[in-house]
Amino acid sequence: MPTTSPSTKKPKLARLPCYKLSSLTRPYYPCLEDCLKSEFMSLFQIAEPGESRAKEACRGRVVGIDLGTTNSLVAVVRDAEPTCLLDEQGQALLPSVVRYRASGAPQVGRDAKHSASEAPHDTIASVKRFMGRGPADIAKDGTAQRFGQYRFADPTQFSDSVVRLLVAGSGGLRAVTPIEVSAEILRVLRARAEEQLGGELEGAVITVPAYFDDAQRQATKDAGRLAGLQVLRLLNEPTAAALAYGLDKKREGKFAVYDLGGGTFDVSILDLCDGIFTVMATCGDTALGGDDMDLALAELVLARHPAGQKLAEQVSRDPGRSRKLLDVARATKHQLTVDESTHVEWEGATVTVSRQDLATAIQPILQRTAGPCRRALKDAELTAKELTGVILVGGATRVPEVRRFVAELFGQTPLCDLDPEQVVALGAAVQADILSSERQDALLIDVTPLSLGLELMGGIVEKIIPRNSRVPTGAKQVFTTYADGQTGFDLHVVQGERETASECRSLARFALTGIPKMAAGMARLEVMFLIDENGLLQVGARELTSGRAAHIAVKPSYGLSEEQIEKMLVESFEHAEGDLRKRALLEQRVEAERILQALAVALTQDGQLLSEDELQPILEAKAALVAAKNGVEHRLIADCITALDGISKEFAQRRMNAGLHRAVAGKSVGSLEQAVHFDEHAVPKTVPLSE
Amino acid sequence: MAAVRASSSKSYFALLDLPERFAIDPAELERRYREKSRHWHPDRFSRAPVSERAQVLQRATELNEAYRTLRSDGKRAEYVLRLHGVDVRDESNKPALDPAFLGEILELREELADARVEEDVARLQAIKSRIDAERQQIGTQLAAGFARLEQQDPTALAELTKLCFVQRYYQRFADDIAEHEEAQAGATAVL
Repeated sequence: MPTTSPSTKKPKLARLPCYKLSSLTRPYYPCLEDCLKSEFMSLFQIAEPGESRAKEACRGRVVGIDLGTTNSLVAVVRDAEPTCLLDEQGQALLPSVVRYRASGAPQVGRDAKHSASEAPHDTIASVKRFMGRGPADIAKDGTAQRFGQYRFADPTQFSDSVVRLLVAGSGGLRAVTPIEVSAEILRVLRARAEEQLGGELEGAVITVPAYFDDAQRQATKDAGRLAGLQVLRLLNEPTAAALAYGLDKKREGKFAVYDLGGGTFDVSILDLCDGIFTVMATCGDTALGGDDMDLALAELVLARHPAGQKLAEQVSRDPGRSRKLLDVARATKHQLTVDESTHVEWEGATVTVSRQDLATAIQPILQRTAGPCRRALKDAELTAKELTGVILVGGATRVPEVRRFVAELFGQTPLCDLDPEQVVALGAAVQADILSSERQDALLIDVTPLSLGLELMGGIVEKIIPRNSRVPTGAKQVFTTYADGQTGFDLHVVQGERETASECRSLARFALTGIPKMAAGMARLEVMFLIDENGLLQVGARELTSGRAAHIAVKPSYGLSEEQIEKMLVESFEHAEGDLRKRALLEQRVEAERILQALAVALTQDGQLLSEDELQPILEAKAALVAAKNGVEHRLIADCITALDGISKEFAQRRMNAGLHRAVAGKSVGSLEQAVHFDEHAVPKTVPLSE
Repeated sequence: MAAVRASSSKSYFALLDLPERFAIDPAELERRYREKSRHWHPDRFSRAPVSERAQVLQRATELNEAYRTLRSDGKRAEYVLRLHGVDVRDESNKPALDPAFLGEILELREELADARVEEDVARLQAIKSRIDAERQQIGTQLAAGFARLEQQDPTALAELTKLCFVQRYYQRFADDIAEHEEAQAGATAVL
């Protein structure tokens, strides 16, 4: 039963951010600014602050969430053991599929997945591939083409560079961002956890591919906030897996984690020593995974189908059928992890596919994972021979050919004694536990996957924080003017390894204005960059010679602004929470009314069974319920019902006995049984109704 | 690339409880770093007040910067010189370099460019070995120079300054080669 004491119940709206970009002088870390006061005029975070309150609240009910491309999971540490929470059907995996409908809440999970081919436009799968990315990105790398069944919103309609999908809504089509779609998945996991843990969650660690850039991380964090979660930490997936492995098996040494998921590939090299998990290097590809295997297999099925040529064209124009074909391909892939060969029924013909066929079809995908592995080893200054072990993570590593490939690549048989689909969520739960309990037996030291740089004149990138630097990490740079009387600077922050800014990932542009007029080269502008323990960027700046505050305005290149997120949050509260609360209130009022009426009848009929002293508390509880019923707080009504129920138990029992006496005295056995039956069911609930 | 040094004026060596000298035991550095991280990592303070967490974030950032600087021979050499009042990041401190050396660098650059265009793997390898040998030799000279600096040898500082600038040429060269190799690395099945 929910309680109403103010100390344990936080009003939902307290989760709303109170921070706006417009108030840049109000920094996220007030004290960090104090520390830096002599150094910097202003300090801000490119996006949301959020977790200052989150961390303070972090005690007790905390979970780890693996927000995967194909499936998502939620796990929790119970009695020092991490376990995944199961749904009503006993399943840990929640398919990361969201189906939007013209009316009602979106459908999430298995049902949405199974009906995907019915409503291919409105059923969003693999949304992770769109997180933190712009329309230009997905057009360039072919993601938009590959997910041709989706209706992409016209980017010119929006001022930002965020991918939007058009889906069914109550008033026709509506545009949703990948952040909102992901939030739907997170909401389901949150509800699952809150139901099983018996109360509101106090925090969650959400995992991200290690190779996610700042925009992708920020988008994930925003999705968490939108789902009403306090995001304690974004944790890199391979690191999470290593944490689960290291603690479970008490392993020590240097390990490679090969993480091939539904849509992303990561490889991390970790040093596990004395409870400290140090990431030495990480590398990957955020658009490579099991999805690509399904696609390769679908092409194979199409090629072998007797009517393949004709079908290929039809299927490419019919999103429902192409979705069906991908489903068939995925099922085939799963079947081939068990069988050497399988028959595929599709479009009126049977196609035979062997394990070797699959192996051949996915070779190009596997080859693409070799480069990142090599680079990670090189950055870690290790050779494959020096590794103690290789850990397999991600559903796609169930494919036997993947295991064979990894064994050959690293020259040793990979470890897979923990479920590769659960291990990331388990590790996230462990990290959530570490953060909420400050347990001392484990510590993670992670790195930033991509170099951080600034665009200089001519579009050249100057690296200021190299990739694989341990986080938190910072750097300071001094800039000057190139024209006489120049009063401002434009800075362009990018992430990536390429030499030119256009080939790197644009993170943000910001302008510093209000610099006093000086001769060229005289001004000294100092900019500080800080990558925090979540891998998220913060920037601060000051002009050294004038000592005057330079004004900073920032525009994140991708992702949503704080105002947009806030608006979505408010809307989602209005829709989801608001609706829920309204409904709960109505339900409780009806229930209260029913009970008050029953009590009135009972008092009229059997009031003589109570003494004055016994009657008084019942009347007080009744008055409290009447007052609560006229209020708007559904939980208070529920509590008053419980209180009245408890206080009138004795009265109910006496009425029951009196009723039984009456029944035994003059009625048949049949109606006596009825009375007993009635008794069993009615008593535990509330004050019994008069018959 | 200056460190964020706001809340503490301790040297990187002091932060890690190491003696302020160029010669360093990498295993010892790693051990000290872990020890300090165990204490100063932000995760250790997830339930602390905001103000304390901010200080810890700052401290942890410095610690990581200290580790990154001291771990690399080149960065550590530059840092020790800075502690001795010579900032080699400032081009105005650059001494006159031997024309023969500059000529050699120019020649190597051209050779590297040719080898790249012709995709001449053997020649690239040869350039790489030559650069590696040069860097190794500079490493030895640096160690000897810093030892003399510790003995208060008055000529050591100027010599080390020059070496640091020379070293940077080779460092940039090595980075270029590594980048090229990365871009070229085809998909081979064995690491």
